[in-house]
Amino acid sequence: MNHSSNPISTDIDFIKKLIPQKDPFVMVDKLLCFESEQLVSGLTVSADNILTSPEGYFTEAGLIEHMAQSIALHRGYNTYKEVGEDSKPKTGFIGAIKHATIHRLPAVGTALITTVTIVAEVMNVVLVSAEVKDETDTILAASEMKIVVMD
Amino acid sequence: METSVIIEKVNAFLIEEFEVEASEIAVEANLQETLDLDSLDYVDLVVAIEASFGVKLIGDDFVGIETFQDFYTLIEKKVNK
Repeated sequence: MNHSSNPISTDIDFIKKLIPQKDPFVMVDKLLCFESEQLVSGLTVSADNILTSPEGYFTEAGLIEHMAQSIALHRGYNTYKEVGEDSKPKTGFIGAIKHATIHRLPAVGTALITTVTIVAEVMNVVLVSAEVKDETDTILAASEMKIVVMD
Repeated sequence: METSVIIEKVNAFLIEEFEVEASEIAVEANLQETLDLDSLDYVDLVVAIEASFGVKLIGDDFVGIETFQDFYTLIEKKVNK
């Protein structure tokens, strides 16, 4: 997916309309690329993010939440494309996390680039793989998550 | 694909993925109870079946599946379709 030159949206107000999470718990700020079973999102780590440590690093919890919200963004944007401005983001929750690996905690100012891929979907459970990289294409974290989607 | 081959492959990934003893798997045994499946686990079954047989199951395919025999029959139908 080529996402570097032409992002879909960097408008944080638009992004917020696509996900159920609210401030101060919004952990995605860019929608870079979308396909039916894949999405690339972004987040620039800020010092005032509630999941940034006092030492200036985005925490493990922040990375996990960022991956989960990237999945929510996929569903939200998909609904937006189908329904338009009247779409409302569906809520969901992390049912299980498999194979989560945190390689490095990103410092404040790092631009995260995260790819989420839908592996399988059965009933209201979606199995998704997620990979977080920084601007240098270094893998920071990866996981597989089962997301339970609520109607 | 022959039934015996399907059963062998299914049992192999069930034993590995769901950490069930081979001796607990019997054609008439209840699949959900034996594997202690919750709703999150079915997606793992779908992924394992796709990886092993190249066929994709959907949620509706599991309606009426109670025993291991039901499950083998479902996969056999999908594989030999």
